[in-house]
Amino acid sequence: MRWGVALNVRETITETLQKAEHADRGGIDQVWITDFPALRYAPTVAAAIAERTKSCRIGVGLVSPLLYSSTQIVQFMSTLADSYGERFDLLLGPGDKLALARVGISYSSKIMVEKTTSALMEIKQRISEAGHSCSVFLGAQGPVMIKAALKADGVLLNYSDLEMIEWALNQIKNEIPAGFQLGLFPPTYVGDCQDFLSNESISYSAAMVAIGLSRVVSNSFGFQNRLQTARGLMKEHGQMRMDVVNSLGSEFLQRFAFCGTSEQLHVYMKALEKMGFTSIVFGPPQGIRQHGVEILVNAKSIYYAD
Amino acid sequence: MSGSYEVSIGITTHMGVNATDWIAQNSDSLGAKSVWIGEDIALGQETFVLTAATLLQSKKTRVGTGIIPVTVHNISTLARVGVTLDEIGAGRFAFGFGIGGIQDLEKHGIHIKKPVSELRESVKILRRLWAGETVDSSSELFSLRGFGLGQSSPVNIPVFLGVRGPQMLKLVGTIADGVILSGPFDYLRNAIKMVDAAANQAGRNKDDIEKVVWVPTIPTFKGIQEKVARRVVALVIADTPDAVLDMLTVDRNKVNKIRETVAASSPKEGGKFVDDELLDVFSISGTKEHMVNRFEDIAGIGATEIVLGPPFSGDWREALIDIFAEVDSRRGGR
Repeated sequence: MRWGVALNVRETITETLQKAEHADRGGIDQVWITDFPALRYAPTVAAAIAERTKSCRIGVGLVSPLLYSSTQIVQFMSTLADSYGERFDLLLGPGDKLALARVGISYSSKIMVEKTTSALMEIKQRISEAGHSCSVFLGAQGPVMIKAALKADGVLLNYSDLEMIEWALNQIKNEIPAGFQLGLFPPTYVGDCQDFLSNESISYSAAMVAIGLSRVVSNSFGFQNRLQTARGLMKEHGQMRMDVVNSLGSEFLQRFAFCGTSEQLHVYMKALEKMGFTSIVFGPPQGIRQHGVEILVNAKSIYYAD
Repeated sequence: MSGSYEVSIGITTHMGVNATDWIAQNSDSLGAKSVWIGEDIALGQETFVLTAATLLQSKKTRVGTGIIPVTVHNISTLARVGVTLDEIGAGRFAFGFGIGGIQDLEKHGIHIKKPVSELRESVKILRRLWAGETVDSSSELFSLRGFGLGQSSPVNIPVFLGVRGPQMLKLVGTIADGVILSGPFDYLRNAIKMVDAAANQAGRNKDDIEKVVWVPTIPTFKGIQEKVARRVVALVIADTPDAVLDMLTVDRNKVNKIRETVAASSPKEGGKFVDDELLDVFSISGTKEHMVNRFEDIAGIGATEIVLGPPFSGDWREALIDIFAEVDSRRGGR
């Protein structure tokens, strides 16, 4: 199982580099450099990390093909590989609809999915033609994206809850090609989760995933009514606030993040391995926290010492 | 009479990693003031990664984009890139941008109705975003609604504009920290005067605006093939707007023939019509002594920085070392 951590959410470059070095030395397999709406442009941060680390793979993404042309995406992945070696992977996804609308990119969800899946094919082919061994992942949640991901080298599912993960896997059961990399990208907080709601870093991240849940998924799990109120509040504020989080409730929100102790993480990882997962990217806020990477390094060493 | 000037190196995204890495790694020891990176739209290395790599491999040299066409990037990306590269370079990054070369834009089907207004707005918006503002604004090129970078403190990134025409040069004098100029000597003299006049009119000190001159430098003393030089000059001529040619005394029939050939065929074919006179007008070529003489002439009309290359051909590494050494020796060594 490949362990990864998402960085470059709002940390400075110096902080990101320190965390990446720590992850690299501590045996974390991959650091993922998030992109828009994060402030810093991921491919350049990836270059800086490549200069300072030795063995970890470096993931760029989630990158939206709606914000960058396929040519630019192929160019930055190729330039990274040509300059720093074959250490890079790419995660594509439509991106945050609200954030993209703020910079003049506004499409229906259907068009966003279509554009992303068509870009996936072009980018994957062109990277391969350029002779690079970069894996292209698709970030997916709804059934259409999950199925489209089968054309990628792997998928990073935007789920946390084991029941929901199983539902997602059932969408592609018996269709997964050999060598396909099955991965998960849950908001993560490894530590004390007694009071989930008041821990804003994780409750806000979980709420963001819940609010953005695809219609098909929310219908399948009967979440529509609960999400309707929160979405209304979110639209009213234009950003995440505590009343949105409160309207969703602690128990519900915990289905949209991993929040638990190292021991609970151990159990969670065992369950994922049993389901066939080959990689996990611990999403924000874990990488943003001051000692978030250290906690993961320790958790990994204990996991494999077991 | 020459003024004081710095020497820099220009590279483009179309160059290979080995060449750009060598320049990045040697720019400090050569004594380059800057490395300027030109974006060939959709060709070669990705500009921003190349810029980051150049910053990461040098310690003292300023690294600037020279230029990025604002027409092919979302302005939010340019704003984010600016912040990131400024941080990676710890203040050594300069952001050079412009509308883009005529040939390049046409090839990609990009048509801008009001290029001067668009460039002015782009500069204003980027500076507001870097200052930490949340912006609502739209133009022919961009649309921002409640967008801000959310950085913890404002950043101040020097803005250089790569421009040619009179209105654009006025814009430089009004709002930019520097200009990246390209063209024959007579044009450069006029362009620098226009920038200075606009600066005076705007109540700015003309000396606060850096004048970077980047013309093809072709050191034929180190094995560069002259046909390469002629091909490059053909491309430069094809990309030179009428407003610039109007300031020159060159034979317009010859120029038009070259432009038509480049458009219909290739720079290589166009290069066959570049004679010695045009080669000398549109490039700095010859021995290192002659080239540095030309640098001094250009500095004499107000340029503050001269950019070497491309084309990088022949034994270009040795040529760069020799030219920097020649400049250095005339200053009595540094």
